[in-house]
Amino acid sequence: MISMALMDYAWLIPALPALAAAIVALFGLRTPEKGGWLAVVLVALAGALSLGVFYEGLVLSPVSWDQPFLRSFNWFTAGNLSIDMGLYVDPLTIFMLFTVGILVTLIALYSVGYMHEEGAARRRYYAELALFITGMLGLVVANDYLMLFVFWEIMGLCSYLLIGYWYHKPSAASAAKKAFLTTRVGDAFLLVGLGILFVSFHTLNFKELFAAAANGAPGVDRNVLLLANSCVFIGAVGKSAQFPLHTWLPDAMEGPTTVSALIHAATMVKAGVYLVARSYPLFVLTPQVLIAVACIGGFTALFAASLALTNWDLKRVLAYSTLSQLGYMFLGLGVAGALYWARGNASGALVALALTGVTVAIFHLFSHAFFKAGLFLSAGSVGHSFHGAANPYDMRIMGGLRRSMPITTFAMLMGTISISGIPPFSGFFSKDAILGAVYEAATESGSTLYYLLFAAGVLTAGLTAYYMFRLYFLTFEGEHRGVAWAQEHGVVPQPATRDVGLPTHAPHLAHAGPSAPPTMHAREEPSDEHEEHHEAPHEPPWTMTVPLVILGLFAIFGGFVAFAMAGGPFGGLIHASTGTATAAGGAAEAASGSIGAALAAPFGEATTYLTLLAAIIGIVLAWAWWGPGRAERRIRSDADARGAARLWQRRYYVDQLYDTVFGRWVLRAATAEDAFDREVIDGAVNAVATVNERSGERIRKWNTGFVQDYALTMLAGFIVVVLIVIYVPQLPDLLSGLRGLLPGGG
Amino acid sequence: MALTIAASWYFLLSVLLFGIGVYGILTQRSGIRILMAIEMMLNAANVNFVAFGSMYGQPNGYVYAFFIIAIAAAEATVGLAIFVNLYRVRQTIELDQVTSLKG
Repeated sequence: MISMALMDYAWLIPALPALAAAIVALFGLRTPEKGGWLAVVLVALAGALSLGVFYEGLVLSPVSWDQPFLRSFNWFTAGNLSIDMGLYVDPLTIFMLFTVGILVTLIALYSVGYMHEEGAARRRYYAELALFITGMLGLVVANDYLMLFVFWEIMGLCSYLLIGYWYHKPSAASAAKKAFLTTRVGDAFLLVGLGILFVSFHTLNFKELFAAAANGAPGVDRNVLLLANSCVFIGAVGKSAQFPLHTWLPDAMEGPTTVSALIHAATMVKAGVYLVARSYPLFVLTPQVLIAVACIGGFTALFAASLALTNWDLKRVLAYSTLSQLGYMFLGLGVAGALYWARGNASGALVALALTGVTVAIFHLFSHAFFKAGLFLSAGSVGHSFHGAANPYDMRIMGGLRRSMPITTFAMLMGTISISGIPPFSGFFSKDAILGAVYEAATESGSTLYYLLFAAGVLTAGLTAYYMFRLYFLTFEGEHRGVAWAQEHGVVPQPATRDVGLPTHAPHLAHAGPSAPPTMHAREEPSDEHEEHHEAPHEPPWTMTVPLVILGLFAIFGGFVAFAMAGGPFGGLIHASTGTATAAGGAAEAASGSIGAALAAPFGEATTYLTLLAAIIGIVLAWAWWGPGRAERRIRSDADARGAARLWQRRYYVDQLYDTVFGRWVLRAATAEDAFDREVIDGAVNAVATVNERSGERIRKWNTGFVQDYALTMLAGFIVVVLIVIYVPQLPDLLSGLRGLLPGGG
Repeated sequence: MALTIAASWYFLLSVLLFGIGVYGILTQRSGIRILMAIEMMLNAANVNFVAFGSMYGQPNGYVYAFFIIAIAAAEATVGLAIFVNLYRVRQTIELDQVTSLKG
């Protein structure tokens, strides 16, 4: 059968980028763009294969939640333990493959233009990029928690390497460490969780685990399972940078913008959402965890959105928006907790609602992935043209870029509208689906907590619209300000050091070149003596603009694409947000309806208009305060931040708290341990060495090098032995006794 | 019966030969002389074997003696080759001159 053919080759999806990583690492310097094109081609092949598998799984030989496509081979056997490696392709998998496959291809292509001036170091970049992509794609097709964990860690390693790509910058090096260590906290919990699951179920295979879970997990203590699920969830919190493990993500901006786009849109943070979505059959058995998922998600959404309100750094605003949107996804994943909250038991309705939650969360993951990739790549394109400024992403030096960078502006504007939730852009449908599901869950259960979470979601929608349009107006509308203007008005320091809000970071060393005398004002080049920059803002090469245009289009039409899929055998994967969302039949009902009906469905709900109203208020406020001609009056230097702005600039002091706790107390404990290690453990080892050395020093004197001395010693020894044998009567008995002890002797 | 000698005389001869050999090894400085001393010790053992063989009327002792003679020939060859090479390198075969293993 042709239809099965592609699915059988799905293992190539992670294998191709892995191959690319190996080839680029070994021979990359001899290929065009130092391995860039090689990586792009192989990643694009993997992307195409992903699309093929997606199409096959959706249409030709549909997979379902209950009947995934499975292939596996024995990975290793140790005693009774046999671990398989293989593929698990269900609707969630193919949906992730579609999203990740397209995005990684576009981002890899964009890299070719963006990293063009990086020289031979690009080989390292492309090898790590390809390995990173391997991690995500492998994670998505894995059929086993253990295999998932392996790819999970590959991604963790690559994020460390890529965030620290410019490792000579202290800020980048420390951001890389921060990302690695913070996610490691989550990873440690995840490993513990998987250990508990293995001990309880004697398997980590998805199929076997979920089959056991569907039967109510016989023989497994609910409290043990609760612990396991909590640990798995904390792993997802770390990877997806949810509160309180969120601090690494904004700092991860230190990497190249393509890496940010990859981390935020297609990989890494999405892995956490995927993990929770994948684990939903287990999570519904302990709905307390689902409540925690929803609470963490709702809180992070609002928390991160507030941080973005006053930030001046283009990429950091986007980073906070990612946190916030991921919060939405977790909120969606946790909707089913409402039923438990209200009724205190797990029921069939709860499982159905959990599936709805997974559906809406993955829908938002999908639309967010595209518009966020578009936003980040646009930001990269902007930063590309401010290359050489102290902080090329400082929005205070921008403005008016719409005229010089129309394509970038298009992609950025589409992304902005989409994330703000304006119909008919993709972000509208997916965000509405989540909020609709939360509202349904709240009304269904009468749970106050979920009403609060819904309110947080609506408020976040308004804040999102505000800060995103603030970003857009500051960057692309009005007059071009330039570095000179910003310095003259004292809103950026000269020579600039950025990140006032980052006590953990040393000031930038790189790019802190001296600035030209301030000259007013716009349309001229952003004055800067940096040798690489002598041009006005300009559009980047085609390798960068093509992905931008595609992503811009996805931001517009992503919602339609998703709804088109809803007609397929996905059932309720896409749209189950409104009407009978809590009933198991709701999904099927939505699926059987036409695309038009699905598109129109949100507009029948009052909650939709509430969200929309919040978004519109946000946009109007942004226009009123930051619109053309008005922004300049409101631009402040970092030091001028007052009140809430100061609190947000300091990130609610969470980073400082961590610095105090881990930077001081843990450091002290570590210093003490270090002393113990060096004084006691090393001391013992050194003492043994010293004793041996000293005694050896004495004994070596006995070696005269004179052959006859040795011969004499042998003779003396021989005589002694003979004397002993003759004059010690017990010795023969003793010797025969010893012989009896020897194996085979006696 | 021809002239017979008590076995103990053979053993006395053997002890004498062995003692001379040991004395030679411990006192002589020349490598060649030490080789000769070793040969004497080996032949002391041969005398013992043959004497015991004769005493008990069994061939084992004679056979061992032949083996030892053959091995001794090989040993002498190797030893001489070593001294030839030693002489090439160090221009001496006086063993008190060759003490590079001194600790």
